[in-house]
Amino acid sequence: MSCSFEEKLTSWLLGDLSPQEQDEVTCHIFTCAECRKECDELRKVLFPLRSALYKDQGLFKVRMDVPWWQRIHPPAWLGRVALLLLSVSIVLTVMSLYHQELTQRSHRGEEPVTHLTFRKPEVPVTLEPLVVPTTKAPELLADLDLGICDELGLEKYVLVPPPVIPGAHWTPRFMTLNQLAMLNLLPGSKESVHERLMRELPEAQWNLNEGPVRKFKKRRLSPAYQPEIIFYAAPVYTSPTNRVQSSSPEYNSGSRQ
Amino acid sequence: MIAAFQMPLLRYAARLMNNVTLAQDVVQNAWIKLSKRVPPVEEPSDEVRSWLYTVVHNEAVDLIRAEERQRKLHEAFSTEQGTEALPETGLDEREALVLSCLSVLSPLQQQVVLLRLQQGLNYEAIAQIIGEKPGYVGNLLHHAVKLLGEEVKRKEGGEHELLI
Repeated sequence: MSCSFEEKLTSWLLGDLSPQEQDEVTCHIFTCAECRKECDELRKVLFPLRSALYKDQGLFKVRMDVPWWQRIHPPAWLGRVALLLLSVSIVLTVMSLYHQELTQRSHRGEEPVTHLTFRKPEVPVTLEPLVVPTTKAPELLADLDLGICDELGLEKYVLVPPPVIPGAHWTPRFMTLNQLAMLNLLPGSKESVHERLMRELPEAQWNLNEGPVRKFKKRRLSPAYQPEIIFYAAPVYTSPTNRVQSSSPEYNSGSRQ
Repeated sequence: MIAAFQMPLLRYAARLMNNVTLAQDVVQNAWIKLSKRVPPVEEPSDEVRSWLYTVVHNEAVDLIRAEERQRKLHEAFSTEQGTEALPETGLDEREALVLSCLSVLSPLQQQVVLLRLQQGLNYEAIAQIIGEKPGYVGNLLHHAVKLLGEEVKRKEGGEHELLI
């Protein structure tokens, strides 16, 4: 091809010529068959090439669209620092929530549960001092009914003191014969008071048919009334000749259980 | 500066070398050279753009020549290093065929074709980059397209003969 416009055909197809040159080439192509054919050949290559190269615009687009967290490469220590900060933040959050809860409790008037507390006893326990068992001889009590001795016709009588029990918390008391009879203080025995008295004090002269003793004469003791310890006072037998005589020597100075 | 020229330079180098990894290396070298310029360049300009395209082209040509000298070694190196070939996606058959024929062009012709059709530069800018006159740019471009057409015809004829 020997046309002088051949060198400008590619530029003409791309529109790179000046307007005047564009018009000249356009007019020439209408008249030159070789240039038209050459333009067709160039167009078959030039336009696909331009289109293909234009598509290079998205060549690195994917790479640059990678998220920033995948593009950065943080140092290894940064992960440990982040983990430490996360742990500290969790601890601070828990502490702040606990403090907030304490504040709300104080507003509601509730005591904060900061430590274990023992509930105060509603009734204070006071220990009474241990009663020291006394070894002194017990005194006569006001409820000692001495009238029974008169009723029994006894001029004198001996009160047998109860034994002192070590460790006992009660105060030993005297009991009269009347009380013995009333409380059935003769346990485990089928004999009545009067029989017991007659057995224990055979030499005594009991006027059993008179007075209040009579009603105890046939009374039997019930096991339900058995006391633990029996105390009783032994009456003193009086005889016309011997004014004062103990019914039993042992009863004058000792005790009997 | 990088935001203005990074992507066009990468596309240009990638098409020149037909390799993404090597293109990144070439562009990286160009940025390093730019940072060493005295006086330092702070604002993007036509002069800087021409200088960058020239450096990228020279770096690419040097690398291509080295590759030509050690083709076998380079192929093994590319395989071992896992260099990434340029992905040709979204192209029709004709476009892929024309692009595959770019290698028949000389480095200067490739440079002109890419600067005009890929980068969209005008003849004056291309002439400034390649150090020639603007009229010579059109001449180079025309001959490059014509050579591409002949190569495409040759490939099409070969395929046609194979089909027959």
